[in-house]
Amino acid sequence: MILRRPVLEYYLKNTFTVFGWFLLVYTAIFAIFVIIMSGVIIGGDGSYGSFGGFEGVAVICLFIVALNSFREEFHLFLQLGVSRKSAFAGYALHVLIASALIAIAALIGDALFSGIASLVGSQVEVASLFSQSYGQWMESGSGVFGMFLWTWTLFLSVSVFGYFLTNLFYRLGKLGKVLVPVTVGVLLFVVLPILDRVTNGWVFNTIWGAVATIFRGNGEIASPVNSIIFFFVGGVVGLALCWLLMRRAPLKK
Amino acid sequence: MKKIELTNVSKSYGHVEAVKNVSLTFEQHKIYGLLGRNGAGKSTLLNMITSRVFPDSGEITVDGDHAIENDYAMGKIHLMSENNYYPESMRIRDALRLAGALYPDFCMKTANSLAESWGLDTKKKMKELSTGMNTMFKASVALASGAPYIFLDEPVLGLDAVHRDLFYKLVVAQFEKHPACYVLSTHLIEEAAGIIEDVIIINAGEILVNEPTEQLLSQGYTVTGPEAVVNTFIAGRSCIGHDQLGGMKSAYLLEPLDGSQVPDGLQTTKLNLQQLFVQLTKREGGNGHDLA
Repeated sequence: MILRRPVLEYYLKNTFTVFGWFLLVYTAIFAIFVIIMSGVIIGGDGSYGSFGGFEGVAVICLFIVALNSFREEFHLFLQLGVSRKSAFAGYALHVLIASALIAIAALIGDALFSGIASLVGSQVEVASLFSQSYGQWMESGSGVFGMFLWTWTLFLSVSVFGYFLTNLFYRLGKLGKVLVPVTVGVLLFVVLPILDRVTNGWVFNTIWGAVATIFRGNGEIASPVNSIIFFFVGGVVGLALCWLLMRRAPLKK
Repeated sequence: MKKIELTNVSKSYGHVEAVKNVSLTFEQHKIYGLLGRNGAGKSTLLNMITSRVFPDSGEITVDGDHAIENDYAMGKIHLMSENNYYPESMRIRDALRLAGALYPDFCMKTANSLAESWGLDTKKKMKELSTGMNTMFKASVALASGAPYIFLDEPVLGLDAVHRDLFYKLVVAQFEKHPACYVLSTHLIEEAAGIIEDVIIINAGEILVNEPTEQLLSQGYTVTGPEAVVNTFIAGRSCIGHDQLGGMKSAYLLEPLDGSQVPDGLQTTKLNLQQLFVQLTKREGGNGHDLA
């Protein structure tokens, strides 16, 4: 008995409740934006407005949800006789389902908001992260499916990353909680720049090269394929690390 | 046989040995009292049985199945903790619903009726509950869980006298309706003594006493009288402690009493469970108090 339905349902309900609120706030902000832009356009001063994509903001929402998805739930499920593996299986399946459904919602949302924006006038544009990054690739034919896969795996990896961080900080002792952020900071802002200088820019060039390969691919046109694989593998590896952290986690007061 | 069995279970936190090589059995259809001083290892023991912390060594089984991280075994146990581990923003009714979905024999009708007995508003969120209300809520979940093994850790924390009385009555009523294994871990020994069938005393991580309450109480008595007479009487007997006030001495004995052997000038009285517990667990700090 690894997967228990009430556990999965609990996680899904929590995520979608927060996402529902996020959707309301996003729609309200969008409505205000459109109203303001309508006024500006009717005023005829030729202003142009661009509204960021739905998925870009959803990523932040999912990351925050994930950061708050471990301690309380872990305690709750242990209190109610659910093993760590069942709690983890519930979370893992939930994150796969929720990120897929929210990715679909993001696609529909972007299409909807783009439609509304175009009704207002050509000066208003809704540009998703994906279309901004892979606009030319989208025209190749597999645009919508590619966009879904990219958005889904992006949401998956971001959620898992947030869950991993909260899991890690739950397991760390007092010293670890200080050492980990300090080490990351020192590595990024002290060690790497020094190494980069010593190697005449090789370190950062290599890192940026790798980032470009992951997010743009090696072709003329930026392709999302590498980033889809990167996000998916990152998500799966992240989940495996989360399980390793969680499997012996004790209940803390 | 249906039982929870602990075999040579140990657990340390750093250099502190919280539970030392404990072997214990909890059988169904019994109400146990798990007694111990602060830091004696009661909560650690209960947390290990429910997989909340892992034992360093030893084995725990529930009806023959491994208990650790086994959903099937864990579903047979409910531990009402001293702390509230429900999310602060969760409403009581939602917590009851979730408990109902996770415990196969959870009785929502009983849960609601218990909540009503306490006067709990199930629309309230956890963060709105006082210590006493928290206890009432957790007790409602535990008693309605339908689990064959119900552990109640400090189950009357924050309850006033009237509610404590109600709690013991509800435990007995629920035990009659659903004769599971109930384990009460409490510091209010005399209050719980009336319903405890078997008493387990844990001290410094070791089991000191594990026997039927009646049997234990039948052996405990106090002998009071002039110091010299008392000293002569207790020589060679199982004396678990003493108090002294001036020339008068009270000695606490744990062995069957033959009334005919008690010399004139000595008074004997039965020890209650709390007195026995105090005498048995204060031994490490010296087994007597001289008050004069």
